[in-house]
Amino acid sequence: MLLLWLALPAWAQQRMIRGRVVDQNGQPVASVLVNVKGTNRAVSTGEDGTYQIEAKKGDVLAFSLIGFDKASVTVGDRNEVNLTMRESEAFKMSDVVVVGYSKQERRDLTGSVSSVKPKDDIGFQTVDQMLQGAAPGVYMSNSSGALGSANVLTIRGISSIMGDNNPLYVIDGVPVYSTDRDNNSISNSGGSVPGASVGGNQIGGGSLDYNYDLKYSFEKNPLATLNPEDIESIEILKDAFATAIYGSRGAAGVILITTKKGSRDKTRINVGYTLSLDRPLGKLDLLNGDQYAMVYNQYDNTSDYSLSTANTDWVDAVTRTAVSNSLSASVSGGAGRSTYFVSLSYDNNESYIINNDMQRFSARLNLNAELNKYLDLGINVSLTRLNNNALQASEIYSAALKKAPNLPIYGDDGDYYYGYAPNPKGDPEAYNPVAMAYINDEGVEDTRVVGNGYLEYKPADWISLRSEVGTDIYNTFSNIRKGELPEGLSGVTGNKAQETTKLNYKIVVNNLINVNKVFGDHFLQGVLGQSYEYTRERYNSVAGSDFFSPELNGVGAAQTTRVAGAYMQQSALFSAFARINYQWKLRYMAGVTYRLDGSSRFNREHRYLSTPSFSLGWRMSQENFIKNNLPFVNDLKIRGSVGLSSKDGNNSYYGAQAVYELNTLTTYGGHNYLQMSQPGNENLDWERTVTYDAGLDLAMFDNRVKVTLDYYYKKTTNMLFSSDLPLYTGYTKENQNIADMMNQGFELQLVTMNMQRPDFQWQTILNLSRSTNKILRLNFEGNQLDQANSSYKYYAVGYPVAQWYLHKWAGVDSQTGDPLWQYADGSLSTTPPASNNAISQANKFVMGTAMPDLYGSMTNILAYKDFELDFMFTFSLGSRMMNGTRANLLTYSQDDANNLSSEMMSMWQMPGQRTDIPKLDNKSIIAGYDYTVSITSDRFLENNSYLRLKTLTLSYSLPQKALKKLKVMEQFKFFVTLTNVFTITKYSGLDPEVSAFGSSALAAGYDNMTMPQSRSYQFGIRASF
Amino acid sequence: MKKKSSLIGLCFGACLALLSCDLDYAPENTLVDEKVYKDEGTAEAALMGAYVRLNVFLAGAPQDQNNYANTGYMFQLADVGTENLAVRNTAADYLAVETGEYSSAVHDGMLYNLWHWCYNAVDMANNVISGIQRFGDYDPAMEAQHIAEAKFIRAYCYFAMLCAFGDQALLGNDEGQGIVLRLDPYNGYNPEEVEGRSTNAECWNRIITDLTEAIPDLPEAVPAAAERIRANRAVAQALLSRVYLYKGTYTNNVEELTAARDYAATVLGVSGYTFSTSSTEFSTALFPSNEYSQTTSYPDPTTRSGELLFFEPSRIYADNYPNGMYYYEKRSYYVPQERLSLYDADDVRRTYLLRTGSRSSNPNDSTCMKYSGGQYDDVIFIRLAEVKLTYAETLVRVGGVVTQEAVNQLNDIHQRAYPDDLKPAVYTLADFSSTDDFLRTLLTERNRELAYEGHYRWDLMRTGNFLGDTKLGAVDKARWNLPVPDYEIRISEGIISQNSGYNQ
Repeated sequence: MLLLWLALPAWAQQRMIRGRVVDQNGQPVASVLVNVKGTNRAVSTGEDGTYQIEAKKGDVLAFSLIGFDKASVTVGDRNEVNLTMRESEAFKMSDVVVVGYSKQERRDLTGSVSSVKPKDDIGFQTVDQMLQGAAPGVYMSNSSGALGSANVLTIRGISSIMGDNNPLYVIDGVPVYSTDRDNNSISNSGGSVPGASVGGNQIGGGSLDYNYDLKYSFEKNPLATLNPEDIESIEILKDAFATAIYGSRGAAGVILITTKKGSRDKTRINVGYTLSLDRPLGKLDLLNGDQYAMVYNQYDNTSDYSLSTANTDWVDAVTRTAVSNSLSASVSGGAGRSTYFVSLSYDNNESYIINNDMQRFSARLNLNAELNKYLDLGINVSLTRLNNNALQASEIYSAALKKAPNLPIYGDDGDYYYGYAPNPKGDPEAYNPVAMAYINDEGVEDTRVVGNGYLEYKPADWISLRSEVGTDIYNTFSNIRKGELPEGLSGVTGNKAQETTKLNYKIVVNNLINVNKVFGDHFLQGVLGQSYEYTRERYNSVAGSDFFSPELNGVGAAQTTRVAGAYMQQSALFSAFARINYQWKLRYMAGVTYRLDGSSRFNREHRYLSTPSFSLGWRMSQENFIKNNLPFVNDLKIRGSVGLSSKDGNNSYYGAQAVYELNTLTTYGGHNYLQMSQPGNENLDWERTVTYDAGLDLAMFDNRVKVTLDYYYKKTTNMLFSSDLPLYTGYTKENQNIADMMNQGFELQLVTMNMQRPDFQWQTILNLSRSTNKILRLNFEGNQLDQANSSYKYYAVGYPVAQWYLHKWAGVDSQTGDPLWQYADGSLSTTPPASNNAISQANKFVMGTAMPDLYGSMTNILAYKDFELDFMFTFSLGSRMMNGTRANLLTYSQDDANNLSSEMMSMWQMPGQRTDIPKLDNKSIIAGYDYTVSITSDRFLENNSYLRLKTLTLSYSLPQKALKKLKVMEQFKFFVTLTNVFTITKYSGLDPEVSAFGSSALAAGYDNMTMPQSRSYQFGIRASF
Repeated sequence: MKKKSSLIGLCFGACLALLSCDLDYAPENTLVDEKVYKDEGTAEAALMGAYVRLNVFLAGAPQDQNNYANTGYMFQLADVGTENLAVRNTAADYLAVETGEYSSAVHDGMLYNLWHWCYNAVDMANNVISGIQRFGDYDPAMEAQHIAEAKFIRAYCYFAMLCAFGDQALLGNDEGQGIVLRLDPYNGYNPEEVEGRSTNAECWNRIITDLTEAIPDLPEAVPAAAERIRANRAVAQALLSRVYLYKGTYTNNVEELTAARDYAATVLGVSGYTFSTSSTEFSTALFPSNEYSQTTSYPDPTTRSGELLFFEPSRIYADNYPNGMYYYEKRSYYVPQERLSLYDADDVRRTYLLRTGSRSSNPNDSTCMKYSGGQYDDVIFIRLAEVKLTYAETLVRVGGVVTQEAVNQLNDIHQRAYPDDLKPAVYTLADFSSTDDFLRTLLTERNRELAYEGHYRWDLMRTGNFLGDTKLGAVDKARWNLPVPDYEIRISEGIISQNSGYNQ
């Protein structure tokens, strides 16, 4: 009663205040919270910026809206209070980041997302190369110097053992076709595989010589069909909050690629031309003809290898300076209420291996039209044709390394010289590397359309409804024609062909509702949607042999033909998802994401997976204690997230069903019978990855120092592993969701503007990533001793995945010249442990992995007037590489008598001689097997940590003054770029980055006569009109 | 505006309609359960696959056409560890059977393989049974027949496993641990649901139930000799007769022995099977030589004996696959010289069947030419001679007296083994002073006739080593069975436990 009494006089003085809030441009501002200070009375402004509120004279009206500086006005005598609000500085400096299914301001992010804006003065062949050293947490390594071949790219370590570890790529909202090794490998055996390769006739305990996966297939880089020049930005989603929106496919990270759009402001024409010259990174030092003959004569105790008949440098004979041209043009702009971006490009790349090259033609059309105030529609579509005629480059390169140097390229008659005569031994396949390059025709043609069309309806400025239909049509035709060889060459596979057609088709339908609502201090952003994705693969392969004439090419012309394979398979994914981000006063942020996925690859019982994730953020720089005490801080945000994700591609197409195959080789007493090639396995379930992330974003000193720091802990449970079963099941090993693994690490990005003067700027960008991995649970024995995988890697609880597990080489006994081996008990012996099956496994040692502990890059950008100098160092520490190249070039005990490394000249010859090369006839050569050259010993395991000056670019732009006079051009730039300038490494091979197993992260670490990358010199011009 | 909104609505609707939400995709050219078992042709082909796996388990045949045989198969275990075979010092697997001492290498090698191949065959049979029940859409009588054949295969596997691994299952130990009984297809493994061993009694019941259920659904007709590679009614009855004989002998269970006798009698009454009395039957039809060295290629004999009930077809290399029997090379074991004295000098089973075999490998030792081709031979699983001997034995065991009918059956077998001009005197009732006297003669004859065909060890065991085999006798009774592979005990964390004889 008393309170009411006291309140009455105040009530009496209240009156209605009206007003309108506008921004600096005079546009009305809606949703501004108007609050009478000291009371809980508040209203929001309407669409027209107006409000009315009861207040009395002397009250203070506080106006607040996220993105604007706060304002307050004391109520005076007037009943109308109008206000112009100023956009806050903090809001302006932010930039837009593409996240799954919508866009966000970087400022608002609570997940871990890195953005990469491509530079226009380096010519990249593929988008993954662009990402090397570009962002923390992204490990990218060029796996070879072969054109169009796949590279290793992983985000935040290893996320699966059975499946691939490649991230999901999404181009303009279309998740593109799988990038795993199996899907992109094409057979280049020409239709048949020599019998010797089956069963693995291994040299002394371990060799990749007969590895089918390596020898007879080429792994294409599926990203080679995307023109890097079309890319506007690349976003890398790393933590669970960022990837959860891609739910069942986000566990290995997501890479979102956004292509360029037109701008309504003006029409712009861009033209570019780049000329590149490429040379291999180095050349191995091999024996010449006389040295070759000498070593083999000494080993075989004959003098049958003739001296000085020829002295061919086979590597020189098959390599060259490759000359490549790249031409691109684009037009962008707006007409009426539409914008467009059209681009065309043509690349012609030569391989540094003779007669091998690749061409790419690509075209893109991005079109957006505003039908009216509420309705937008548009299409983004790219067409690419890729002709890769460099499939056998790697094979030619390794054949050239191994070819006997005392044999000529051409015989006396001028024809190719085949065979190994007059040498008593030689490669039974009688390769002539130069002939291979010219008489074989091996190529693949990819035709790819990636695009989408959308319709967007915006009933109000805070909500939009969008439907989009996207597609990835990826058709591949490969033609392998092995040329005709002279008769009577043993073991040679010639005069045959294989043609393979692969038609991959994917359609994606997305329906989305995006919300962006600001009211007072509250900011709500959300997306609600659903998606359906269908994939179908058709495959057809025919092979033929025995062509009547070498001039005949198509398989149809062969005298013997057969169908090598034909099938169709399909899968589908149905998803529903939602994300809500909420902010209060730009200070406190929270987010929730939820996705539900149903995949046809799983059994009905395990078909659906839900992936929730949560995040919190706190922009501390908005707090007074930071503003007052640390005035140099411009922005400081801490954030954390936790969430679940998975990877559906790790399960084969019909993983849960029993599969039967007809035995075509034999019958049961005249009755055809079916064999069960795979038993049913309805238990197969999703792998589950939970990621915890804690991050910090800091900007200081007028934004001249920017730091992004992330720590993550990623635990994958339910991981698939082919594990032991009780025998009573009838099977010994099947895939089970049995393993657990963790990855943890930190990522740091430091961007500093070291100098900022009108005509001189210097910026440094440092990226640093550390990642460690450990298997927590594997199978019931705790390890996989049999190393039953194509790359001889070892898996055990408590260790990182894919260990080197090797015998220990203890050097050469300087008294006898025999190799020494170290056994598990510490003793040394001249008996190789690999020669005795019973004790072989027990005397192996765990010796690290092929993945680095620490990697990163440092980029410096220096601009002086119209010149700019950029250089980027990349580095990688703590990884180990198996130098299979060296192993091959020290193998002289085989009948193929391949050429050898010049290291052979320092072989042990007299007591007391200290050398790493044992005497020719030593105790480790048993029954023709030379155990010293086995890749299952650490003799060839080397630390391949490196520091490399990856790129160095100098560019000059014509001064604006001069251009203004010309009036035609807006920009004109010349540049020179060098890549792989120099490398500091202890690795003894040519290139510490290579990996014989392409994109496979688990099989990485083999240099198996793999083509080194090239050192390239690019000269380019860019002009805009 | 209204109009536009409805247009938008329509577009969204259309997009949603695109979502058929179909997540069930069957592969185009891969056969999965619902395709395989729907039609008779493919279902029968899957059943044939189960027969192939049965042969893998029993006779070491590869699953495919190649020259590598599987190591560790059931058939040879019936003779290894008895006086029928001598084992070489280098053959660790077979030495273990002979001595009853099993190293971890034998556990992880031969024993592991035996379990794996048995259950591999059982799983295929289980798939056929469950697949036809779920998806079968053809002649119901044919469906029933296919299921019955699969049950026969399963019963045969379990029977062989029980003889070898059931803890004294042949010694009347009904409460002892048998084997793991799997009646459903493998469909994923959950470590929390490890299955243990059933008792011997439960295992016997399962085998008898499967065969009893199968018999009425199997065809009565007797196919041509070359086609007797599948179960028909008589084949299942013959196997069931053997099962009852093995189960009932040690405890002298009259009911079971009667069943064994009656099933044997039924089979003998089937007119399609013919028992030749000629001694040339061995060399022309039962075990014709398929020795490579005789000509420049395998002779591939095509004549097969009319007394065959069920066999594995392997003789003709071009069509079939090798069974991989190791006899010919004598690398692991051979027929010891002493064993020749089991036979009379004129017995063709000695003069024709026990010979040198390979002359390049171990030329001084003998082998059994029932597997003469080195690699490519039929393996006979069930033939009339066994049924006749079983009939004779059960007649005497059930009745407690030696009957003329029993003596006649014995004579049929004994007389046939001699060439016409060298026949011995026929046995008469007066030759046998007691039933034991008769049984000793009969069981000896059973071994002479069926040696190396997968019987002897089990015959010795079920009779408590009545014939006094010195090799088996040297091993503790509790180790007449093989031990369960250690692997199985480790992976089940002890839920599957070891046989009592191996626990110390």
